[in-house]
Amino acid sequence: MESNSHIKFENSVIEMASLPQLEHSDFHKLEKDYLWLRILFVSILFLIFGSISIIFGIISNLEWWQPISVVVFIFLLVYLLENKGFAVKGYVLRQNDISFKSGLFFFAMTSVPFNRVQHIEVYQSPLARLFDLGEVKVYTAGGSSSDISIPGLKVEDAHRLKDHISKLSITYA
Amino acid sequence: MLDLEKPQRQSSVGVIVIFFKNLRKAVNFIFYFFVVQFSMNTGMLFLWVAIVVIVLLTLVYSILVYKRFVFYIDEGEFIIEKGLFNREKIAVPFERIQSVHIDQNVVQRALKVVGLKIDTAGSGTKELEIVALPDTFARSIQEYLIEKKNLQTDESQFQEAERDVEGRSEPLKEPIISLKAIDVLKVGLTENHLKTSLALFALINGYYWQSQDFFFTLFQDYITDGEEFILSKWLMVLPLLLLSLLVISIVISVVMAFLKYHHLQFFLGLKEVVNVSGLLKRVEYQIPISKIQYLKYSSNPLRKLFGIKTLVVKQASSIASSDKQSLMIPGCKQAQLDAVIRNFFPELRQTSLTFKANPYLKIQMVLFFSLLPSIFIGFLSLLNINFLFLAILVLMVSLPLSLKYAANMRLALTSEVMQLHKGWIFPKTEILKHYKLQSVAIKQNVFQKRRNTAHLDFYTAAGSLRMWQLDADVADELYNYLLYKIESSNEKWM
Repeated sequence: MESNSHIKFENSVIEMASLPQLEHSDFHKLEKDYLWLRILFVSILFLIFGSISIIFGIISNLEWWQPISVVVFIFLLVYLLENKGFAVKGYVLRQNDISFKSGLFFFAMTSVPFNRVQHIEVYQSPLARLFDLGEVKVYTAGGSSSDISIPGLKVEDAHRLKDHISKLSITYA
Repeated sequence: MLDLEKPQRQSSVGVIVIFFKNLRKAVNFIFYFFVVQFSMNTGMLFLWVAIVVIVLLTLVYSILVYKRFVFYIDEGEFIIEKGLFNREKIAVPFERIQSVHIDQNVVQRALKVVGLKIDTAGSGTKELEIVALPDTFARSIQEYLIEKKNLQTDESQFQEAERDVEGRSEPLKEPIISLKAIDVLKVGLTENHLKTSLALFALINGYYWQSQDFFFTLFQDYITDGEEFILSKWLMVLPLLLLSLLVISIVISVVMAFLKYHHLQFFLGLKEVVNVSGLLKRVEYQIPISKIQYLKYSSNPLRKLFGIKTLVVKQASSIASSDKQSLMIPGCKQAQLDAVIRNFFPELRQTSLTFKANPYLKIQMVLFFSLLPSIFIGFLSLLNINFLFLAILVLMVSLPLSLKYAANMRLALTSEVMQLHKGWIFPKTEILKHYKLQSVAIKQNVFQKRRNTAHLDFYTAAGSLRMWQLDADVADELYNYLLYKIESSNEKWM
């Protein structure tokens, strides 16, 4: 990146470099348990598909290990991708906004300023309950693609985060 | 004084309005009996009996619908109860009311009543419509609801000194845009006829397949004679067919333009914009200025010739993508458009910075809209060598178009306003103030990462916009800048 291309706005006298920057190093990782949750989820899927493919394998006279090895190969691939993808996911809470990033192949980073938050909730999927994890969903008026949903937080952290943001966003309402 | 506490019915002529509404559906049934009569030769008496029965049933149904339709106000909610077989109660809290419209179709005009429509902010939007009210009564309901709604929503707002709590803050002055008959004619003539023709073709095709048997019995003698002729001369007939389709679609476009945009007047008040238009059905559409999220104007080659553009006013809505929630004003002259834009965005006079898309966008556009389609068609030339020429033709046309499209994409910013320019043959520009943004996102896929570019997505309450393929460092800086602008702004986005 060239650093001499900073944008200057003549009227507002704002030097881009002086603006608060969202650095990638500021982001918090999600709870490690979330990775295990994802892997458990994928495993359950593969258990189902695996047993189906074994039945198919038996019907179509394949050796039992042939369909199994395909399933195992795909599982390893998914496991690897989940691992890599987990490293990309992260959130950062700043004074005036909250941001979330994700996506190994399709990276996306979204920030929602607190003065645009419509409402906020904590969601727990049945699997997440096993791990005591929760998901914070931040809604804006900009439609579903502009909303942020941060998974892989400890439930008490999720509630704290929710309370914090709703307190802040109420002051703007 | 307005008394809406007790449940009440519409004007008694409402029966007739409802009857005509249902009659439109009934005509479909009657058409079906026509088909049956012709194909089975059941005789005229059967047809007449069927028609009379259908019309009578419709009338009875309409009376019942009318009887069971009541509306009233209860504890801060506007309530409509209706339904013949399953009773339905729709309650809208005042603060969820988006806007209240009054309109009038031919039947309503003849009966001297108007229809009242209420738009809400719910996503599963139920239609709230009262079809027959005396004009003055409808207007007092409109005023009452808007007043109540403003009270509800303003309770939390502080800067209310300059606002008065009337339905309309001042009488309408001169319209800022008004269309004469010649302007409406231009709009009709310059509609996207390719699109209309295709829609028309699909419609005719659908009807043809539905009633194929019926047509065959009618024209059987002619068809067997003509079939060979038509097939052998299809090369001559096809252009003729396309030409007539084009002529029909032009006529339809002109008629539709007059029905919708006749004597269009667009007013700019202090608190809201008002648009009045329509030939048989005068529709008055009000949008509070605070609800307006962004403006968009667009053109096409024919309209460029006439020097007219289409202005679209995008308002906040839960159904962001639907066009129903935005106001379209075609046929604006540049001067009128400039006047509107100056009014909404006085900050635009400031110097702006312009960011073009990274050249990688050209590669991307050429690949997806030029190379891949021509390669695909090229493969078809294995079946028939003629496709090779088509492939070359497609390549030659689409290549410059893709390049031009990519070259024309740019984002211009001042300290308060951004303008997003896209397109070449169908150019469009979207203008919005930074503080109208809800959130911002950066998107970057693996290929973009390698080339160090990124998309920048802007989310507003009226839908999302995207600047494609910015240099990654520019995208980052703009991202931070826009977040700063949203967070440091005290203006209400709605």
